[in-house]
Amino acid sequence: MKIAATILAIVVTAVLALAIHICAVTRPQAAGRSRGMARIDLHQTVSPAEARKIVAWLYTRKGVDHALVNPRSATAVFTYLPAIADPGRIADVLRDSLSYPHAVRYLPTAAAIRRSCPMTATPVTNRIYTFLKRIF
Amino acid sequence: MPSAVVLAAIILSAILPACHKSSKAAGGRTFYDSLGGTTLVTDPENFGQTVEKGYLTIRTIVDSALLIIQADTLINDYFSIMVVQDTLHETPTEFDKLSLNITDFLAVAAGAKNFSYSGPDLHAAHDPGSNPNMPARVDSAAFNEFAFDFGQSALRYAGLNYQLISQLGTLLYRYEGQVVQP
Repeated sequence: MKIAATILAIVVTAVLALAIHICAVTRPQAAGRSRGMARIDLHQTVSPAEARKIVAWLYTRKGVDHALVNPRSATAVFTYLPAIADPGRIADVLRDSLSYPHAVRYLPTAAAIRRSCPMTATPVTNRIYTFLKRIF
Repeated sequence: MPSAVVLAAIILSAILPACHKSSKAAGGRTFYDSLGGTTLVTDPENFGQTVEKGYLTIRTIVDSALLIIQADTLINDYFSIMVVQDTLHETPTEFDKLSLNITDFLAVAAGAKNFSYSGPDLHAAHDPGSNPNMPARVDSAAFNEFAFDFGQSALRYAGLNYQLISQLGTLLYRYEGQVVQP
């Protein structure tokens, strides 16, 4: 009798664990992998063909996720994986090896950051979740 | 040429908002359904995970739009926080937070049922009276450019047709009054 109860308990636990696993794997996922964004102001005229070349070059950099160049504003923008790519280094190499001597990575001032879109604000619960996620 | 058509679709959606007050179209089909709805597909950003197709479409539009916006000198000042230096590799990054909040907001607004928006109240956040970090009110021209960049993203990176881009414009302009305040 005791053995039967033990086996039943194990089976029920296994079924529950399987159900939780299935729910966790198949439920809709919102959070993506973490990416940073960087902007390089080229400070010189860029043709559409040159813009395409810069985009192609950016994609050869390790950790670059998504890149585009706006020839009208002479601006290169890309997202990257923070643990892999070094956007400052990418900007330096672009300046030195691609003949864009005035290219500089744009870094906003503290005042510009304060004025930025308020939609980056996260509620306290999200911050607690992020904190716990980092610990465990 | 595609830019001109996107512009036309966005402008049309802006001047005809009364025709599309709800995210629900005829037959109870929402805009979210039109973007793929709740069908689970492989998430290209998260190995081994699935994501609702409607949410993935919106996230693709948002992420690409944020790049377009950052390279758009007419409005990138509003979004300079996204390119802040992250020397400590802290996650989520400012880009992550903005992408998640805008995607959640638009997904819920489009009719998603399995997601929720937990970001700041749109009206209060854009009101210089209640948010001391807002130096001035956002003007209509900036909002129009924001919507146009979203339209560009939807066309170039999510492959939406002009009808869906127009619906996206309608969705965005539903909230213009909360962002552009008198």
